[in-house]
Amino acid sequence: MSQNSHSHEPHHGRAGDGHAGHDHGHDEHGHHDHRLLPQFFVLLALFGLTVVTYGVSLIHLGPLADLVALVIAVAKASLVVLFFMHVKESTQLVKVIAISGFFWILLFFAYLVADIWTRPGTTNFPGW
Amino acid sequence: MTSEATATAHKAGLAHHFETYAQQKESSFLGMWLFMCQEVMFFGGLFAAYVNYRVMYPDAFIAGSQQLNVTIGAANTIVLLCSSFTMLYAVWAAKTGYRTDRFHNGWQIVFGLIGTIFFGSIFLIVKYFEYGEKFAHHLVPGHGFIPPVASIANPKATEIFFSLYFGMTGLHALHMVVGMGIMLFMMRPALRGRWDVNNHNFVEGFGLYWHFVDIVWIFLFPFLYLIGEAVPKLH
Repeated sequence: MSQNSHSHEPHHGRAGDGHAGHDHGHDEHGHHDHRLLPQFFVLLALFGLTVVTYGVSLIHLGPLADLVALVIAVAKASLVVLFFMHVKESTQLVKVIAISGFFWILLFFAYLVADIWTRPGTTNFPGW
Repeated sequence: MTSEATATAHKAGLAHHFETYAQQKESSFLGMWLFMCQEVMFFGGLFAAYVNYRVMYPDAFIAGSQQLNVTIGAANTIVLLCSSFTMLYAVWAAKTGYRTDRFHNGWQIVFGLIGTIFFGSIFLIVKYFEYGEKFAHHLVPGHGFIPPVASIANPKATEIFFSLYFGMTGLHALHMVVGMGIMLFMMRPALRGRWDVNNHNFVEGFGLYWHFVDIVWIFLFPFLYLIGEAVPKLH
């Protein structure tokens, strides 16, 4: 019940209909943060990172540009996973499954990159 | 909607084969995350192909990337992030809403879904014009393909970049079209009060899917649009 008592919760204007007393009380898996405002700030952070990665692209950084763009992309994806997809609120089992998906892709790329970046004659980056 | 006879035997919104809402929710989310692990591998294969050819033909990939408009790509990233937030609104409405005879959260959910479809449509319309421009400039892989830059070591390898460009953005766009179709079918149950504070698993699970599609674009944008900006424009 107290989880829903934020000022921007529009249903409170309806409290006079006599149902507000018991309609909120059934959340067996409660203790979630039901506010939308923190996620709005995350959205602004994602906007900011998009502007940053766009701004960085305007100066020609050479091979470093890939690294900077990738780091920013990983930061943005992490924000989405942590704050939009509510992994923190999930049960242990769901967390394990979620993390294993991303762990798999890291493992996959680690071995792929270890192979192809160590082959001879594949580093003719233009202008360098 | 459960009938009154069923509602007395079971809690509203709780399927009969589950003991509690928490158990029902975990079951739903476990399945959704397993599906998304499969999606990670699905797109992961394409990203792996990208990394492989990117290392083999770095100059051709930069030449190809320079044919894309970074400003449009960045603007579309913002549009897609907005669609993720309207999706969050729909999930929030489903979570915090309650069900009475006179009022329910269905309209809020529908408002969030319409917003998500709106931003998704803008994204796809922009993509449509981007694709059209590639057709006009003979950058679509196939017989009509003309390498945009002749001075590099492997001009023809630019075709590989555009194969991956159309393959990856096309698959991403297909996921969005499927998602928008599902959202249309979510509106009727939303308005009929299907989702409330106890069971909003479908809305939240769909939200996970939509955010995942957003994450795919977060990686497609630098991989396809930004790498060309590492060096001044090749001719």
